Amino acid sequence: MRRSTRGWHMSEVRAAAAAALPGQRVPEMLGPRFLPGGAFVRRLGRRGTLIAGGGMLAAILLASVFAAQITPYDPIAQNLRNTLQPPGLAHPFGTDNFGRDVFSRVLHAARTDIQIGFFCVLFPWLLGSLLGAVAGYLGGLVDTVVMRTVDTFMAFPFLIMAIGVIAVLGPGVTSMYVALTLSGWSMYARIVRAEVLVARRSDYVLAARAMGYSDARIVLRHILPNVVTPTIIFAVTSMVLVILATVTLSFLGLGLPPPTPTWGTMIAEGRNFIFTAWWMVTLPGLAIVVTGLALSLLGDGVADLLRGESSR
Amino acid sequence: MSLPTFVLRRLLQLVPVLFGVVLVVFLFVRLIPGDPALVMLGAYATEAGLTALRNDLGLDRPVWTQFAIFAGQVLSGELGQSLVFRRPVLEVIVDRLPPTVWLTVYAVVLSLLLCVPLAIACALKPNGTLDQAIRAVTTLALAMPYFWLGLNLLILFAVILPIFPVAGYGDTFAERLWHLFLPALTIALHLGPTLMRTLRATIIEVMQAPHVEFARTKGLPRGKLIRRHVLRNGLMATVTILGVNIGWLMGGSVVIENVFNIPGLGTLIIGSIDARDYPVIQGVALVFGLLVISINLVTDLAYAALDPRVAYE
Repeated sequence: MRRSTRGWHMSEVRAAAAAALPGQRVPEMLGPRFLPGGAFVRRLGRRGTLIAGGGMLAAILLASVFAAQITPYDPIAQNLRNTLQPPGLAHPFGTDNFGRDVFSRVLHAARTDIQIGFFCVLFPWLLGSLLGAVAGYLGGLVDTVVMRTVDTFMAFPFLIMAIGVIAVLGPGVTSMYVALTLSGWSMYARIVRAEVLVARRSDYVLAARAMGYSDARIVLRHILPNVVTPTIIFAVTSMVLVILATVTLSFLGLGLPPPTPTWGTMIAEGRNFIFTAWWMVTLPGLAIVVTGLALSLLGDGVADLLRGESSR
Repeated sequence: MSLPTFVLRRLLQLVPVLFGVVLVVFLFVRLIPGDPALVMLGAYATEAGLTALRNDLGLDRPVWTQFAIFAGQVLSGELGQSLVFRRPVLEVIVDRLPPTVWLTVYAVVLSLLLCVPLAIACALKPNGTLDQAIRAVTTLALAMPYFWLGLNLLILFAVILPIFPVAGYGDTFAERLWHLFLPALTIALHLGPTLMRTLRATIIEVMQAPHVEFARTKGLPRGKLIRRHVLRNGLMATVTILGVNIGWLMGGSVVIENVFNIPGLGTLIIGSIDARDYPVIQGVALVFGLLVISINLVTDLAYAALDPRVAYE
């Protein structure tokens, strides 16, 4: 018999607990869901989508970091004698109405867009998880207020909410973060609350309470680490939707002001030239498709990995 | 729980949500930094105009009184005056509603025509060639920004091959079907992957249900089996999927209206942001919120009426 539970699969841990405590209800979750490294790394090898998605994303990030080395053109400098050139050897993605190299702009935009996308996943996840955990743990009036607020926020279409918030705050990156946080947090709150309602009655929370720990410490240090996996699964699978939403908001003119290149604003600028310069619309969009594909493969891969670890 | 109790409970659950939606829309304008009246009227504000607007919004009174005034106005269908159109907001919205409804319904019909047959074909042979191909296409479609897809359709089928008009809405029924085809197709392709995946999973599940097993054992031909036993359950699931995704669908139409210059609520709200026409922004957000709530309600009630198990759970 193995002495340490290090590297065990959750199902093995639970089976062992059931064997050791016959006739007793084995708690749904025994402890931290994140098992130490070994099992995680071993599974990596089997996950093709994860590697493909991660590789694609790494390539995009590298290309944007080394954009200045890859293409000789400045993404902002105008060259009015060289406007609306079709794709060719000198300019693989052509030039725009100000004579700027579209390929260079696409590469430089990647950094901005991916950064915005990242924080627009992170902030709602933090806010929603925290509010959901507090609501589930405290129950009563707090729970009612938080959950009715969740219902309200869920009633608004995601984009309408975001557009409304940006309408109030004015276009810009900060407004975008606030808008996507406000329109995205509710799902996380709902997921975490449901998990906390179960975890609250578990033995390890009882033990922590018996130790005399404060509510804040129990929620932050004991419950949250154990209920966080489903929210991470939701976060990674919604990454692609979030980045598409931020790009859409930029396209509608609600993101960064020109001349800073972002994929959405580039396509919006290209709209006026669809009769003469299709490359201004189509080629920046390809960058979004590749990024979206990378994120959705990566998200599915990570979600599968985490599901494998937590379920069954 | 009996059906009437279920309906009553579902309606009661709505009250706090409706209250919340009105509160959020109210806060939209009250959270503008500085004096809302000054921000709303902009640089050309006159002292008289400012006083009138402050009076209208009740800005000189406590916040709760302001909210009570606002909620009362909403309940009586009064959404204020548009600062740009110089007309009641409700009138402006009612004018702009038909194109949005047209587009949304058209898109739903197109996506059903596209997805239902494909989902059945995929579900009959899970992991077959078609299923694999469709899975690849839906993964790609989910990674695609749909405004970009719409612009590319526009470039392909309106600029390079001038089959469809570039913009506009049309007057007669046939003209509208023709004008709105590309935008509706874009939204249908945007909704398609979600609809496909859920529908496929549902049909595979239904195919294994005892009543289908029985019908197959007694020798019912496959066509009849699918039409009578599988599709019925599958379509009920479709209604739910559409209900759940209605918010997404409307977000889609907001963006696509802006791509194709269709004079609906989507172009109205984006135009109002540029013009700082806050009463209109409030009104459109409120209408979208209410539409989503009522469509979800209708979906739930229809589902409970069709499937008695829902009410008893």
